[in-house]
Amino acid sequence: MTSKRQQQITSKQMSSDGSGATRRTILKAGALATGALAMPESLAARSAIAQPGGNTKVTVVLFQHGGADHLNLYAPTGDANYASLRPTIGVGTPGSGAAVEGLHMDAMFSMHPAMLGTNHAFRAQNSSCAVVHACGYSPFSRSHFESMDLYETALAGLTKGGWINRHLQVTATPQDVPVRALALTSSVPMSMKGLYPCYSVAGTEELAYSGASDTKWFLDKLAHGTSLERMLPEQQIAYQAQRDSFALLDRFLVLDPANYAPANGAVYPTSHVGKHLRQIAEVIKADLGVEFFALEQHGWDHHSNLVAKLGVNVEDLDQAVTAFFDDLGAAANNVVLVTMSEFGRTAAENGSGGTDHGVGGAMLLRGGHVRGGQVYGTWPGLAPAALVGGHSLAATSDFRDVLREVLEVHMGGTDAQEVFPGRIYQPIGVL
Amino acid sequence: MSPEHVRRAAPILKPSDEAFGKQLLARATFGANRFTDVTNDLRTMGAGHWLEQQLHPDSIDDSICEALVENVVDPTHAHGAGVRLLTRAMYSRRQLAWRMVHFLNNHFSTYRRHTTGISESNEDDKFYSLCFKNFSNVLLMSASSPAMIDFLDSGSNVAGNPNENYARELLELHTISVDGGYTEMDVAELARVFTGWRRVNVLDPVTNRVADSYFEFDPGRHDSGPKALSFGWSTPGFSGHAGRQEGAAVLSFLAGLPQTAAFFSLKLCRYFVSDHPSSAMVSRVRQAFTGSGGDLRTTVRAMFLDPEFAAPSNVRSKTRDGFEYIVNVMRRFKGDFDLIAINDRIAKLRSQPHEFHVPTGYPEIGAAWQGPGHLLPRWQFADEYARDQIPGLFVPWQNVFPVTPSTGTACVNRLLDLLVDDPLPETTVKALIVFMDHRFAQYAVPNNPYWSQVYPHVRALMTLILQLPETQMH
Repeated sequence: MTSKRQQQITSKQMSSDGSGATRRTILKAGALATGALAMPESLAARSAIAQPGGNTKVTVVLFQHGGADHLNLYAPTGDANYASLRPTIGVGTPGSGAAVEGLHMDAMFSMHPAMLGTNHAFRAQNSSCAVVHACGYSPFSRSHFESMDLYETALAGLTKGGWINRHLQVTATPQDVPVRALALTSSVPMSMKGLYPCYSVAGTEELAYSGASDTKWFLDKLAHGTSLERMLPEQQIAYQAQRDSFALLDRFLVLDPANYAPANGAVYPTSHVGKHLRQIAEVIKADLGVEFFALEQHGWDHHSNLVAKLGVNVEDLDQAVTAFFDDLGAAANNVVLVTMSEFGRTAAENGSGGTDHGVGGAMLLRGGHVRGGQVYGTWPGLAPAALVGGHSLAATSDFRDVLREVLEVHMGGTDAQEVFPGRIYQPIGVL
Repeated sequence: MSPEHVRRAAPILKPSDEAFGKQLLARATFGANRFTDVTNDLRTMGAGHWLEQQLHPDSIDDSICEALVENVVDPTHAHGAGVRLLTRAMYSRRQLAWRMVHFLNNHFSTYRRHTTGISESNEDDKFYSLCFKNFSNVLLMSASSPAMIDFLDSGSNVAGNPNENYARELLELHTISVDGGYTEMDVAELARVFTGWRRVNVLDPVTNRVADSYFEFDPGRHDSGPKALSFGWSTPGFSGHAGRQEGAAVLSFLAGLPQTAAFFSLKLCRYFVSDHPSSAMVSRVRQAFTGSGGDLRTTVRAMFLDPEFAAPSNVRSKTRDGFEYIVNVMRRFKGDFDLIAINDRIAKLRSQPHEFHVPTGYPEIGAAWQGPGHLLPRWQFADEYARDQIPGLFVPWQNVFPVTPSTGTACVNRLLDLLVDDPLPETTVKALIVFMDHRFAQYAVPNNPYWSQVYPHVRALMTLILQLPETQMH
């Protein structure tokens, strides 16, 4: 199976322009690890292929950088140990009189009070908003950067690239649209790095070339017409980046983010995450066949003064996601948004009114046919003996199983052994 | 003295020095063409002597630049530290030292939104004074720097309630690296060592900004119990002011570990030499680091004198980050630029010092600065700059063309001479010449009464050159 698929991808690259040698050179040079790799010629060839219908299934991955405190986002207020572990920062049940009173989820969990829109969606009839709690992987890392890579590669190792990229590889067909994956980040995130061309731009407002048409034409000609044969691998990457830039400019010519009007009275916050979800909504509605979007929300590393700092982030997240789904309207049936963060945080608060790096976290899923209104996973509890290393919530659900359900049920199938190598699936049931 | 005169007066380099000198100008400075002072210095002294002088920055008179630094911006201002670094990158004759500060400041990255202008500014000045001293001095300075204390929560790391933020990054990012062989218990023990380290801010009653910020050890918040690291360090623990010595001792221990030498040498070579430096070269630099007990002057000298430094596979192999890209362009024109305006453009390329939100710092790998997300805003800059659309950053056209070129070829050659170091692909040069000759043929006649009509095309040519893949690299 695998070799056949790889053959298919390879032949597509080779046949389009005969630049296979160059591509191999770039590959060999380790461009894979930098994510600067792409297939511009085949991309140009594929641009000629007709658009798909308006039924593209879309996954939006929102990464909460810094290690979000899921024990205050989806607080286990029904756990007997919770309040004593977090005497000054903990969320209380509605009406409990605690400093921070949460919103009702179920007998065990209360949602952070700033998540009004999300809580509304969670409690709606036929809800498509769910949480998978006590989520993570093993053996865990409490380093931001290592754990982020582990999440984004789905533990496959850096040389294998990201889980989204591998899914794109195993589902590649000659009819693929030019851009199946777009990140709203300056650099391609690890989840999208690898053999399959994925793209990133810091915001769609930058997908415009304001310069004179003759310089654009000329630069494009140079980018594509210069022989890369005797260049250093790093220089080839630079040329590749130029070609990618033109590919994106051409592909997204139709966008007009400055004048985009959200539907259904949706109001996005003016923050980064608000701006980026607004831009993603515009791309989805433009129906260009983009299947994967990645975006980031920074500033979740709350080692101190958590109550005030977390509130700001949560409110921003909630308002942005709520506006996004309001804006999408019926199109939301084709869109699943999933949040990830590199780890949860210590169960107990520290001396600075914050929490340190922990283990088990949580993922929010919303949209599509997510089986909402529930918190999924086995709750390991916060009793001292249940805490990993005596400090952190254990991870009883593996995040790869959540992503697998997104790919298999929502996106219509994948090759789980390629995308999540070595993982023995334990059903979550969220989709 | 005209630029042409300088060029004629300079002695010719020996061929063997030529490649080394060019690579030094590319990597040990923030950008140089043959008209910049630093190039003249290098050619006058010879590359080897120039490097040695750069390794002793205090021996170089830099009073003009420093006077400018003192006047350009208030260091307590939020962007004060960034603009001061920019001013040095632009105008200092101690180019290598400020490159080194750029590197160290990013290795020990702090995020200005969590710190203060003055603490960043003071920290940068200390990086400068320590940049060719011992690595352990730099490590101790960073640990007790108010900027680092604010960024990684050392101030709230107290006995009985430790905060692990600094301890973890000290191991993972500043010294032995994530593969350095530490455990979660080590992080916890190390956090206890640094309990009681904090900073004190002094407010300016008028501006209400932090006017000064200094380190203080609070024995009352220090955990005086015994501590031990799994890889061979322990302390019985001290109370009172002696408690501070635990931190100083563990920093000195960490600075001396072979994992630290390996990690730091790799990062140094990545920043100055290659995205993928050979393990042989990194190993030689590491030996210089270890053999000198962590002396940075010895280490950096060994790196630049390494036979691989100027090898063809390392020439124009690194992509400039956004800061380097903009500063390189501006340094090549001797213009009276508004430094705040330059700083704003660097912000648009998301590459300002002190503005990276996570403690890893910006990537040293050049290829991480490639891709549409980075290129499209650079193209935008090139286009706006060449059309004089950026207030404060006007192209000094009189310097660019002291004599009005009469042919397209002359025009191309002059701009390439100013903006590009190594030859471009022949096809590119030819295409540029055809592009310009065609336009000159349309509009220009001898004595150029139609120069004004050619002018927009000259701007287009400059835009193109600033957008080329080669201009992104050094």
